[in-house]
Amino acid sequence: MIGVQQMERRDALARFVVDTYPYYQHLRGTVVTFSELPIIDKHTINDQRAAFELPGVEKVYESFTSGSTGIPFRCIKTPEEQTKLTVAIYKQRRKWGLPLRYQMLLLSNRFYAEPQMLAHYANKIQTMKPQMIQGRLSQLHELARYMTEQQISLPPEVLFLQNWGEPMQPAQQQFVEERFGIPVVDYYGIEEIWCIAFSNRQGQLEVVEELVDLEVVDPATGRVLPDGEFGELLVTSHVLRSLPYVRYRTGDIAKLQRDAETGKLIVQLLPVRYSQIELPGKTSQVAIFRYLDRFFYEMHQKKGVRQFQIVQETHTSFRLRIVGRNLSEVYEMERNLQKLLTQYLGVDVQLVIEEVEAILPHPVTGKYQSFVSQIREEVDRWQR
Amino acid sequence: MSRMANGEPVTEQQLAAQIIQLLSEICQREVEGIEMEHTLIDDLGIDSIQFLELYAQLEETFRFELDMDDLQPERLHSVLSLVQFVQERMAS
Repeated sequence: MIGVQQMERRDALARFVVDTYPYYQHLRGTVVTFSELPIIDKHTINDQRAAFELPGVEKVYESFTSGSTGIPFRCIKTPEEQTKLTVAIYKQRRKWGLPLRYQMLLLSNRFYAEPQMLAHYANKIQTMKPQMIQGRLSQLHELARYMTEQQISLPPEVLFLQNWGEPMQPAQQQFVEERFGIPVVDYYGIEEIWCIAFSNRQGQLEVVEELVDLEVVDPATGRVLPDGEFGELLVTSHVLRSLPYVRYRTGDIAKLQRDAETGKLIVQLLPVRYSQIELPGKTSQVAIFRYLDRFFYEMHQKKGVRQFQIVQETHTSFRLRIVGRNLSEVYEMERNLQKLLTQYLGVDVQLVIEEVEAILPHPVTGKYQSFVSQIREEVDRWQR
Repeated sequence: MSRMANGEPVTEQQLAAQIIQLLSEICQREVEGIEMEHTLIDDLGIDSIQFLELYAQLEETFRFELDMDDLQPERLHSVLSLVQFVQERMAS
């Protein structure tokens, strides 16, 4: 459900983009509402770049992303847009005590590249005494493990740790928070538009509504789904005009719900992207999202599971790789999981559980992946 | 006329001069080169990090604490709007 104010804000934006950008010019002269605007993605913008860029904008900061989709994309932001976004992100961090003048230590994607990186960062934390440390949760977990082993304590200046680019795994979060004695907060965003949501004190991922508007749609049909249903997340930026992102596909699977007490919009993400799921003969995959939600929920409830990864080996066979201790409860649920999977997919599936020492992150992005499809890798290899 | 945190009265011109001095330090420009009509981002070239520094300097210099609602760069479009903002905050 969206309120009248939100609907007016959306429709005003719809009129603005139709009047301003050539891409939407076919809609001029008609009464256009927000929900009638086409859904766009990286391909749409890459194919018609000039029809999206605001004329007369001279100075822009640019960055490049290929993200999880592998499609190269040039992101632009004017200095004014960048300032608005930076201040909005700061405001989220301020809720966790960050002063206006602060030092942040950013853990690089090369964190796992060399064994001495852990010692390097542990040392840097001691000398730099940052107010916050930002990294993938799996990196923060490794750091917490290493510093505990080496009996190195975190300086009192560090107020919180911030995860980004990786799904939060409750077991890892709990481990890090217990070792360091400070909260791990979550940031959800994409390079194109930066921050979308940030952790609140209730442990929810709260949408930063001053920056963005979100919708959840059935990825196959584009139909807007009601609150509480999983589907693909579309984002609309209320800040970026140099390149408008309106009803822009994130590729992420999520559900939205307004908190009954606070009225804040909460987003809950699945640790898997839409493009990663390969199913035989399926046109709508909304049902599989519900299954995956249940699956991830079950996994997160298992205290012995420190980390896990689902590998889809063929259309109907899956391997569940697990790191942890006391995994007997996982084996107990093996049959249930297989039954559930079969029920949702409508075909017989095989599920193998494999205990592993560690699950390594992606070598380039440094991100740990909860779901890997080898079918997609096979297709990509043939297409190259 | 506004008053500083210590109760000392300050005229609009004095306040503007103080703010221009502060801006000149942040954006590394001569005081003489800063005019009331200048925009902070496009004309003075203040970037996103310097904007946070500006907020910090405002809190320290004028001894008020900024609320979340104050942290909106669009409210501080120009030197003039910055002076008006500080005046309002000092009066409240």
